[in-house]
Amino acid sequence: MSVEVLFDAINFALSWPTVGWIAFGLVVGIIFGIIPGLGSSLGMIILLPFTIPMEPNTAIVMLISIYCGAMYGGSVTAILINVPGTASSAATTFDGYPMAKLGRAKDALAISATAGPIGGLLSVLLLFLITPFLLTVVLATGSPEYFLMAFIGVALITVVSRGSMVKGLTAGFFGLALTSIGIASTGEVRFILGIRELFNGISYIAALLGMFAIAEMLRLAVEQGQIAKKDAEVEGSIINGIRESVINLFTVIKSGLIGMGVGIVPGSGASVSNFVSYAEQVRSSKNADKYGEGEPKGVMASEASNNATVAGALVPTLSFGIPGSGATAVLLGALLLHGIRPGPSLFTDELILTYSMLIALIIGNILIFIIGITLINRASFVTKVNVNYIIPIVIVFSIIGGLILRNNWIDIYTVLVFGIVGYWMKKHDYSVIAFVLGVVLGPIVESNFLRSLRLSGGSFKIFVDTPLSLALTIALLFILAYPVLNAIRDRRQSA
Amino acid sequence: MLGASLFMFVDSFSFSYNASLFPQLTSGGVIIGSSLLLLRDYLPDSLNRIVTAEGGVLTTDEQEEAADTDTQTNQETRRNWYFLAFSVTAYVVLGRLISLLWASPIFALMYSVWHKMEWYKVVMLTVVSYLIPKLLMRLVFLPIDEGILLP
Repeated sequence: MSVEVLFDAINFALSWPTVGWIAFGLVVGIIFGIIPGLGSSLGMIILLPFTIPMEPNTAIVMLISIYCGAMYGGSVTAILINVPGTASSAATTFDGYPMAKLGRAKDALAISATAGPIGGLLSVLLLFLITPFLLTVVLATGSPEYFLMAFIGVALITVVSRGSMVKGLTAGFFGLALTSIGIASTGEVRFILGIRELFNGISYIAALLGMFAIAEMLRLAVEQGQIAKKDAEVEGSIINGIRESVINLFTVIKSGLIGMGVGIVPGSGASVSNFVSYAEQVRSSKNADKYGEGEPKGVMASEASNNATVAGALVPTLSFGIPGSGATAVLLGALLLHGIRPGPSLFTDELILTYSMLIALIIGNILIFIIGITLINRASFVTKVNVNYIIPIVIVFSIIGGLILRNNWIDIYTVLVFGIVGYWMKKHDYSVIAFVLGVVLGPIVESNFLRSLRLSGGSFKIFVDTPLSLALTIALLFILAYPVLNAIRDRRQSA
Repeated sequence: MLGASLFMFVDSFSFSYNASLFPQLTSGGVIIGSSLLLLRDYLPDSLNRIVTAEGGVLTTDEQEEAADTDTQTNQETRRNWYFLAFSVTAYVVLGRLISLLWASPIFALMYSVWHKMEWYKVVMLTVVSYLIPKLLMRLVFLPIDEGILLP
């Protein structure tokens, strides 16, 4: 670890206006996390175009703070009204809402505001320790390995996420195919259908705006106005909640480690980690029957893991440019937009940015504790939120955001088209994340693919030449064959 | 998806080898996947099971139960959906014609009136939707106030 760079990163993160942007990002993230249907991806993507005039490091730090804040925000409605603000807090409803019904809403909210940051801080500290070793792994990868890993990232999402695998793979391939539009590396112009504005291809940021913002607003349009039908009662003891989290530190640490581990796997993310951590907590408990009826450790397990997932998800995103979730896909988009390529540079020349992100997460988790504890007594405001106020504002931000990207109306049309495509895909169980990954990773996949073939003189043997590329190829084939293997296993079980 | 991919696959043969390889492979993948999905009901049982197999390796029972909640859609919510889809499209078209600066508050006004909000909420949303592009014009120096009919 470079101590000098670390101190530079600390100075940067604690200086003004960076710390102000961190706080701003956290508050935005908490708000987007609280309101069901919004979430970190949406908050990040609608603000992303507006970060174009900002310094890259400041922009990335602000966006990552939104990601971090949303992890906490989702727990508020999960506890108070049994509606998780984000998928990462879905497991929090199992014991958080029963605690609220038992008059212990403040305890549950305090547990969320304490266990979450502890889990988050633990994973960031671990990431600091493994960062130097990541560089060794990253340097061992060349163009063939990058190509294979990007492909594995898209394929793995379809295996890890719920839903049809063939649909997921098809969506991923479609996302990759769409990135062919525009001028190729050979100088030839592909598939622009005479539309000059498509010369530079489809803007993946505009596609993300459509998929995450417009599609989500179309989905919210079928929700019924106010997110809660009656006021939520906020009773209990904040001190009790904090004390319980500290007494049960083993549970919090274990859940944090699970969250970080799951976060490293592309396609999983906090929407999976909170369930995995909760299930493990129930399995390992001597009083399993207490869970689901207001057991505080259930809330601890879910919240510690989802905050810890943020740091875990940064590992594949920063090392190999393989985002594992919608939010990290947006983060990758932000890095590319600001001219920063994931890979070795983030651990050498741009190490200060990497450390700044981690310091921002540390500051963010500390601020979450402070903001979270402060908000508890005012938490019942969530019941007043009406999605009909939010929808037009988000749409205006998204459409104008599309124009900001390249001052090109084709990007606004892209936002609109992908909004409808995204809604249709979700409705018919196509993996939006796989599609988004395809769109974001397409240029990287193609350039590494062609570079590999150039290096090998056109031979595909380069993808099995080294032990690492051979292992990755085998892993990719295994993942692609997973539906077949699964079907054979099911047939044997039913026989 | 299938149509677009078929077009890309066929058209890619007009490019050089390096420019055609990636679109052929990716659009080919879409063609295979889409065809399997379209024809899944006519496939042999074993192949049908592969095509319809679900992922979720890390999915827990609790996650399955939590996901089993259907969003109830009735006629009113379907009308809301169609209205939103139409109004967003109209917003984009209007924005192109008279500028996003003026189209944004019109969109917010239409939306809030459709949802029968109180008059002060209608005014508030309309004003906010005007102020957002107005503020952004100053921040990012973009011609948000230009349209085909209002240069």
